[in-house]
Amino acid sequence: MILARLLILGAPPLIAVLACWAALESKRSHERPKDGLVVMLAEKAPVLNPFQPASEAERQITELVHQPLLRIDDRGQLQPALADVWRWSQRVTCWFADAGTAVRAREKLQAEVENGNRWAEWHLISTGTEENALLLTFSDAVEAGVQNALDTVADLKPLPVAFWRMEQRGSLRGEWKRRVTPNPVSKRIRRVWFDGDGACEFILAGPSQRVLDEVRFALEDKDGAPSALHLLGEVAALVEPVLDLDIRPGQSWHDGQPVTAEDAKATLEYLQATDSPLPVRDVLRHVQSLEVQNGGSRLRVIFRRRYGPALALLADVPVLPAAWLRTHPGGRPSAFTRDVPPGAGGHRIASLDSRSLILLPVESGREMPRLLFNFAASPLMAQIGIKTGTVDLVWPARVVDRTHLTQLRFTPARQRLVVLWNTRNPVLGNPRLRAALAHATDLDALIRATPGRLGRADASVFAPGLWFSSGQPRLPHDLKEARRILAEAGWPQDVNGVARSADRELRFTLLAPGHDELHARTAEILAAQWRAVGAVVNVELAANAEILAEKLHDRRFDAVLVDQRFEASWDQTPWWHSGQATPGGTNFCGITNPQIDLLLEALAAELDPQRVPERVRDLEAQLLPLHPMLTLFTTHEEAAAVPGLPGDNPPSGWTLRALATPSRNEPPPAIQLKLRVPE
Amino acid sequence: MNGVPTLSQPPRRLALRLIVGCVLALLAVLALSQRAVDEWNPATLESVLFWKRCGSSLAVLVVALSFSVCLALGLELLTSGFGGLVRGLLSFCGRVLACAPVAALAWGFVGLWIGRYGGPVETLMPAELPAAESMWWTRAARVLWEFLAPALLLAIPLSGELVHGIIRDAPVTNALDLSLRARGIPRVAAVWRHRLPQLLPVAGKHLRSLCLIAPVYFIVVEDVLRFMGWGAWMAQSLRGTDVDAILSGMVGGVCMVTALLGVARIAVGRVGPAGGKMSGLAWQPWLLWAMACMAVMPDVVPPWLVLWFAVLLAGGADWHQAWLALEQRLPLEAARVVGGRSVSIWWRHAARVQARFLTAWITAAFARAVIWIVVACAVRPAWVDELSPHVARWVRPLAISTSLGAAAALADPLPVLEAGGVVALAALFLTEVSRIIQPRAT
Repeated sequence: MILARLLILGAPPLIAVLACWAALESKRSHERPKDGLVVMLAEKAPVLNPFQPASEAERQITELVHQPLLRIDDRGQLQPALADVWRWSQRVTCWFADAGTAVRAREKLQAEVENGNRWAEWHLISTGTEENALLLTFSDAVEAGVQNALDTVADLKPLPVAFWRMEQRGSLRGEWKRRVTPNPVSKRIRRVWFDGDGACEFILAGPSQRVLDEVRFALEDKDGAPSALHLLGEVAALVEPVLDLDIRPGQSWHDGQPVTAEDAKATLEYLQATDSPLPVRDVLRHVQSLEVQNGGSRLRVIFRRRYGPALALLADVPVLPAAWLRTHPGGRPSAFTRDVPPGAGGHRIASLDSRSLILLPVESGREMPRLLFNFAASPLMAQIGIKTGTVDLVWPARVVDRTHLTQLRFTPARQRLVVLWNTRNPVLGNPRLRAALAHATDLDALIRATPGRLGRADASVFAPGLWFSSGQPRLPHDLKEARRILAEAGWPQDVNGVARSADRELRFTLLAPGHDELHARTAEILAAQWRAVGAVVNVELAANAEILAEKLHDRRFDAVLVDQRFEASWDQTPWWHSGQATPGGTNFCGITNPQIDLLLEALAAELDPQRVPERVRDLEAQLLPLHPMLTLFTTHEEAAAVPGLPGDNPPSGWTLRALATPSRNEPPPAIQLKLRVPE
Repeated sequence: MNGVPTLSQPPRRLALRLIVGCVLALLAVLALSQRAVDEWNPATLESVLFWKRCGSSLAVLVVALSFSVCLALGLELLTSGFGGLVRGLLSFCGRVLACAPVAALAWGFVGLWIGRYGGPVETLMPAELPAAESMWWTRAARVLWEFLAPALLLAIPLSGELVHGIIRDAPVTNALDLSLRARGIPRVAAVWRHRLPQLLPVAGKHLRSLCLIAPVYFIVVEDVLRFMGWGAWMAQSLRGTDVDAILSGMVGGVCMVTALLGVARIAVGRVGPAGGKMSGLAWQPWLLWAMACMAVMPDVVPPWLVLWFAVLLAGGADWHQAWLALEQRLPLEAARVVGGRSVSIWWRHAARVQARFLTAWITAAFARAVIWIVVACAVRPAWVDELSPHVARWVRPLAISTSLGAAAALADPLPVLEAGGVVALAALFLTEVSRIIQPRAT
C-alpha cells in the first residue's frame, strides 16, 4: 500500500519538480557566453573560397580566417597585413652587342655616378651585368634618373629593344611551351608574357628577324594556323617597375607553419591560372614575373608597365599556404570544403559542417570572441534564437520579425546603382540637359519608394570611403533649376508639359535589367520624376543579362541603369578613356576628351598612393561637369543584432571584423605607406 | 484526446491483433500506392538510428502515460470522499483537456514558453558554442528537459482523458464504503487497500486505449518540437509521401504500441472481462492506419473518406459492444412473454433507446472526427485544402506548413490558440451531447 501510495501520489509531483529544475537549469545553461558570439545566417553552408565569396557574409567570414598581404581598413586606408613593408623601385635593362661592351657601359656609368656623387640624385641603387646586358636598379619608380643613366651609356650603342605581339586562334601558351621553348633561339627572347591563352607579347633585343622567323615557323609548321605578329614598339632599354613586399616576421598559418613570400607567390600564381573574374586579375595581367628573395621574406613583383593601382588591388586579396595550393590545383569549390585551407587571420576554423561553423581566436590573450555561425537558419530558428537570447546576430535581418529588434546593422556598400548616359545620343548629348535631369532626380523619394537598405551615393566616379575618394556632392534636387536649365538649353515645356526643342521632344529610353525588382522599380520612379521636367522616358527592361550586355556593347541605348561595383583601383581608364569609346569598348558613355585621356593615363600610372587624391581631384574637375553618369544609391545588407551587442554601426558600414576585433582607443592612423630607403 | 472515451473492454490477445491489423494495414498501403509486396525496401528497419528514434519516443510515451495514470488515479482516490459536484467538475475539466487539439497545445506551448518567457526547448534550440566548462548536472538537466518537455505536453490531453474516464467509470466498482466503515477499517486503508485494486482494471482499460492512440498524437508533438523520434520520422514520411518510410514507420509504431501495452500490463495488471469479437475492431490504432492510407492513396479519391471510414469502423465496433450490454437490460423478453407484438415491443421499449443511442453514436463520431481531422491536418497541412472552407478556416491555423508560419505562431500564438479553442469547444460540445443523450445500462 505504501509503495502504491508513493507511486501514485509521488510520481506526478516528482516529475513536475524535475521538469521545473531541468527547465531552469537548461535556461541558465543557454545564457550567452561572454566570450562568444552566435550568428545566424539564412544562407546554406558556404564554400569558404576566400577568392570568390558567394555572399557578403562569406566574404566577411573569410576575412576573419585569412590574411591578405595588405589591407584596406575601415577608414579606407592602406594598412599592412602579412606584408609590413612595401616599396616601388625600377629595374632597367640595356642590351649591348657583347658582354665586354656591357661591362664597359657599367664602368662608365659607375664612374659618372661616383664622380658627381649622383647615387642619391639618380636614385640608383645598383649596377650589374649579365652576359651582354647591363642591369640597373633605381630606388624610386617615380623620379628615377633612368634617362640620365641611359644618356651616359648611349655612345656605347645599346641594342634597340623591340616589343612584339603574336596572336593565334588556338592555344598559343601550350604551343609556345612545346615548340618554342626547347628551340635554342628562344634564348634570344628576353621576356615573354601571355595575354590569355591565345596571345603573347615578347621582347627581343637587337637584330630579330631570324628569331621571328624561327618562332613563326615553329608555331605554324604543324597545323598551319596563321599567327598574327605585330611590332608594338621599340625602346632603348627595358624599364620594369618592381614592387617589393616584405613579409612580417613571426607570422604563421593556423597549422603552425611560418608564412613566407613563397606562399604569397604561390597565391598570385594560383590566381593567374584561375579564370575567375577577380579585380586582382587586372594587376596580374601586368605582372611579368614573381620572385622570392631574402630567404623567403620578400616577394618581388616585376611589372611589365607602370600600373599604379596594383597596390590597391593587391589589398584584401587573401593569401593561402603554398603547400595547400600545390595539392589543390584548379580551384574547384569542393577543394575548399573537403580540405579547408589554413589561414593566417585572427580566427581559425575549429569545426565546419553543413549546419554550423565555429571560429576560435588564434591569440587567446587579446579578448577576441569565439564565433559560431548557424547556416540555413529558418525564420522559426531565428525567432527562437532571438527570443531565448542565444543568438547575437541574424543575417539578413528579414529572416526575423523586425518588431522584436532594436538594432539593425548594415554592411559596407559594395556597389551602387548609376544611370549611364549615352553622350553620343542626339538628345542626351548635351551636358546641360544631363545636369537638368540630375537636378530633377529626387534621391530621397527614390530611396523611400525602393525596397531594401539603400544609402545615398555621392557624385564621384570613384568608390566611396577610400583615402582618395573625393566625395563630390550630388546636384541637389531642384525642379525649378532643372526647368530653368532646360529652357536655357532650348528645351522649354509645351502646353502638355513635355520639354521640346525646335525639332523634337525630349524623349528617350531608359534601359534597365528586367530580372531584378530593384532595378525595374528604380527605373519606373526615375521615369516618373523626370516626367516632371518634361522628359518623356520609355523604360525598357532587358530580359536577361546577355541582352543588356549586347545592347551596351553595341551602344544601343539612350540611358542605362546599371550596377557599378566598387573597386579599390584608381584606374578609370576602361570607363572614360576615348580608346574605349568605340563599340566593344567599356567606355559606354562615349566620353572622348583628350585632356581627360591624359589625366586618366597619368592617374593609372601613379604609383604613389599619397599623390592619388590630387590626381583624382584633377580628373573629376574635368569629368564631372560633363555629367557622364547619374549616381543614385548604394545597396547594403542588413543584419539584425540583439540589444547589448558590442560595437556600433559606423557610417561606412559594419563588419564582422569590427565585432570580432577588440576595440582599441587609438587615434585614426594616417596612411601607413612605408617607402623606405633600401638597404 | 479521443474526445469520446472507449466504451468496450479490450479483447484478448490484443498485441497479436495489433500485429495482424498492422499486416493488413501494410497490405492496404501497398495496394493503394500500387506497389507489390516485394517492392517495399525495408532497409530502414535494419537501421539502428530508426530504432533509436523509436526508443526515444517510447521513453517519452512511458513517462507521459505514467504521469497521466498516476495523476488520474491520485485525483480519483483523493476526491473519492468528496461530493458529486467536485468530481463532476473534475471530470468535466478532464473532458475539456481531452478535447484540446494537440497541435494547439504544442504551438501554444512554443509560443508562450519560448515566445513570451524565453524558455528553452532543447530540440528547438540553435547550435551553441561549446561551453568552457560544463557540469554533469547541467548536461543531465538538458537531457531531462529534452525528454520531459514533450512528455508533459503530451501528458495534458492524456491526463484529461484518464481523469475523465476513471472518474466516469469509478461507480462501476463495488461500493464498499458502508461495509468497510462498519468493519471499522480506516478511511485511508479503505481507499488504498480496497478501492485502488478495484480501480486498477478501470484505469488499465483506459490506459490500454490510450496506448493505441497516444503515439499518433505524439507525431504532432514531435513534429512541432522537432524531437528526433519516431513521430518526427512519421510526420516527414507522411508529408513527403515516402511509401517505404511510411511502411517502416507503421511497423515501428506497432512495436512501440506493443511495448506500451506490455508496460501497461506490468504496471496495472490484467483487465477483465475481455470484450466480444466485434469490439476487437475498435482496438486498433485506426488514426495511424488511416493517415498512412490517406498519404499514399491516389489523388482522385478524397482522403477524408478513409478517415471517416476509420472513425465509423472504430466507433461502430465500440458502440456495438455497448449496445449489447444495454440491450440485455431492456424488458424485451418480458414484453414478449406477456404477448406483445414484435413491432409494438420494439416501438414501446427499444425504439426510443435506439434513437438516443444512435444519436449519441453519431455525435460521438463527429467529435472524434473533428479531433482526428485536426491531427491529420497538423501532420500533413496539404490535407486542409480538401476540407470544406468553413472547417478549413478553423483548422488552417493549426496546420502550420512553413517555417515562416511557425515563426508567426511563435511570435503570436493567439491565432493558434483561438483556433484550438474553437475546435476544442466543438469537440466538447459534441461529446457532451453524446454523453447526455446516451442511454445507460444502469
